[in-house]
Amino acid sequence: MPMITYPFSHFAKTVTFLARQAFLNATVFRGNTFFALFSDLLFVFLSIEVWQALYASKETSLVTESQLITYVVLARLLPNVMMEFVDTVQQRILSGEIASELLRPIRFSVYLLGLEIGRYGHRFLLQVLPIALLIHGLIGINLPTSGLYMALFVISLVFSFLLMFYINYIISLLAFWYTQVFSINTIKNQTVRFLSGIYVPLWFFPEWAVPIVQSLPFASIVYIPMQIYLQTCTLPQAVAYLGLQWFWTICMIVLAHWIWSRAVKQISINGG
Amino acid sequence: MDAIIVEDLWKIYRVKEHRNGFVGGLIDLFRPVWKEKEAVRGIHFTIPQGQSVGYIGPNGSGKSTTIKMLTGILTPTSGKVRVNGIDPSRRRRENARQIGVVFGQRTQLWWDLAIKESFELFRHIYRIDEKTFRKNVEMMTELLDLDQFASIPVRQLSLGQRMRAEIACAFFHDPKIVYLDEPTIGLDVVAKERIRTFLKEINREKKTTIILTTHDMDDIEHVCERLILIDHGRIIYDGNLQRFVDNYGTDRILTVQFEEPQTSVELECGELIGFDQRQASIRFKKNEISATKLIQQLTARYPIRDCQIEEPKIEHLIRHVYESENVEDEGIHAHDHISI
Ligand SMILES: Nc1ncnc2c1ncn2[C@@H]1O[C@H](COP(=O)(O)OP(=O)(O)OP(=O)(O)O)[C@@H](O)[C@H]1O
Ligand SMILES: [Mg+2]
Repeated sequence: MPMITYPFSHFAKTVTFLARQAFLNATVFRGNTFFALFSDLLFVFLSIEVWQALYASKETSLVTESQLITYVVLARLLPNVMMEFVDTVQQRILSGEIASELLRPIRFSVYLLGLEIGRYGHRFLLQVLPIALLIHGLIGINLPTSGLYMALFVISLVFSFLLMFYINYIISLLAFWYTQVFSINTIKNQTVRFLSGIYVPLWFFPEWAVPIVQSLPFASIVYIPMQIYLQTCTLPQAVAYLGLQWFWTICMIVLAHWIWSRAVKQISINGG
Repeated sequence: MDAIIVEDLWKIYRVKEHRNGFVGGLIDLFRPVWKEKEAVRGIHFTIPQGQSVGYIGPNGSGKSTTIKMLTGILTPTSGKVRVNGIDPSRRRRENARQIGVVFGQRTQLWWDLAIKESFELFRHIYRIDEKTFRKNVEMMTELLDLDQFASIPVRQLSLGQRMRAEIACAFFHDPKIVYLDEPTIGLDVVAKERIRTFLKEINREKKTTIILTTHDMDDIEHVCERLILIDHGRIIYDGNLQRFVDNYGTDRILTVQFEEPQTSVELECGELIGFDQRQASIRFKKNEISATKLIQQLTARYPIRDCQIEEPKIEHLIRHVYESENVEDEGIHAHDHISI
């Protein structure tokens, strides 16, 4: 299908509009935000407790205690493993309503991405930052000392967000072929949380597994950005990490488009 | 210029036929039996820009299937479709920019946004200039009375509100063609009336081509100039709505009340279809005798107190066409007879 070409500025305007709208809409549901804030805070504190105890019981030369705490806190807060659109998209696929998307003048993924950027922005400003600052005030977490590392970290965070978005998008499209959406979602959440290093940092994985896990797309979501943030890698290494993230992001985008085009073919032959 | 060209268009759905029982289910997994359903069977029509067309037929006759092929959601099994010169199923998104769609059965709105925000999004996507944008917002808001709910998220709207929102969004970007598949389903009389007025108004003012399917003939009568009848996937009538009424609706029924009871009625013309001393109903063809003439003939013989002439409803005429069609066509689909 030929692409409709329009200038990037125009595309950016559309996405910005969607993001802003989703941001504003997110501020409406105050009760929700409050609950999320509270549960995040609780989990962060619990993780800190657990990891401090573990660190005290078993000395390791891999990381310092403050690096570990910083990792644990940010790894909990930064990634958005379960994105809000997944449920809605799955429901619309199961009910057949998804056919409406074929008649929209913009790509479905672009629309969802715009909204999700807005929601993430909201989450970042009203959940991630306040909690991180609070913990910083109470316990103290490491801050990057180098502006260069900080800049690389921000880029790495963008890749992390895109990766997480496309993984969620792909998972939601699977509802076209597997109707057991609940179990698909659970498997996805657990896989991501485990292999990205949210539950356990990759430092503590068995030695043979580290290189493998590190090169999987999941590590690019949490472990790699955190390595850059903590400056536990050299600059050339950090750049190589960004290259890996870029590679996986492109792979996911290609895969997502392929799956979507398969889905469209199915709708357009069998009826929407 | 022709907005829509359809030539020998077919859609055959393939549906999996299920075997019985557990073993049957297992066999289904590996060697499914496919059953073919011919939903649209070789239809032709061309629709010029600016025309309003009522696309009518009984349940399951292939209306929605046709509309889906015109919008590009469905790929035809064979045949040709051109909408503004392009093949909608091959260049779907390009086609989508030039059309508006309303499906009464499901929503085309952005679920996460309020109508006001959807308008705003259209402004970005279609690059509508500020002046046109303001004008359209004002027009939609006024004609469809959107004011009270324009900033409520779509998922919270009532059915009638949602339909008005759907219609507003379908027309907002000044599309050349708008397809409406049962837009008035489940609405109350006031809401229906408002939507009809809106459609008529916008068809006149903006010269938007309108393709409307509905089971409410009043919708057609108010909005459409042309009528296409489809039954069992075939077009059985295509022509001007007024001419349809003139040709098929020649029958009139005259009911007269007498001053005093009569024992019998003698007629020079027409057919007596009801009589009970004080009242008589006479069916006549308006091209054989005019109503005035018939009444004159009657008053010359009987004292008449009151009289009333009934025109047939379009609904009846259409049913008549289906029925005569089904008799001719019986051999082909007597097994799945569907009535309106
Ligand atoms: N996705 C599908 N798969 C298989 N058969 C289908 C599918 N969609 C429709 N059909 C069949 O095709 C025929 C035409 O259906 P269609 O929806 O076009 O009818 P319609 O004229 O819109 O009817 P209604 O007035 O009830 O909306 C019906 O017999 C229907 O069962
Ligand atoms: Mg239908």
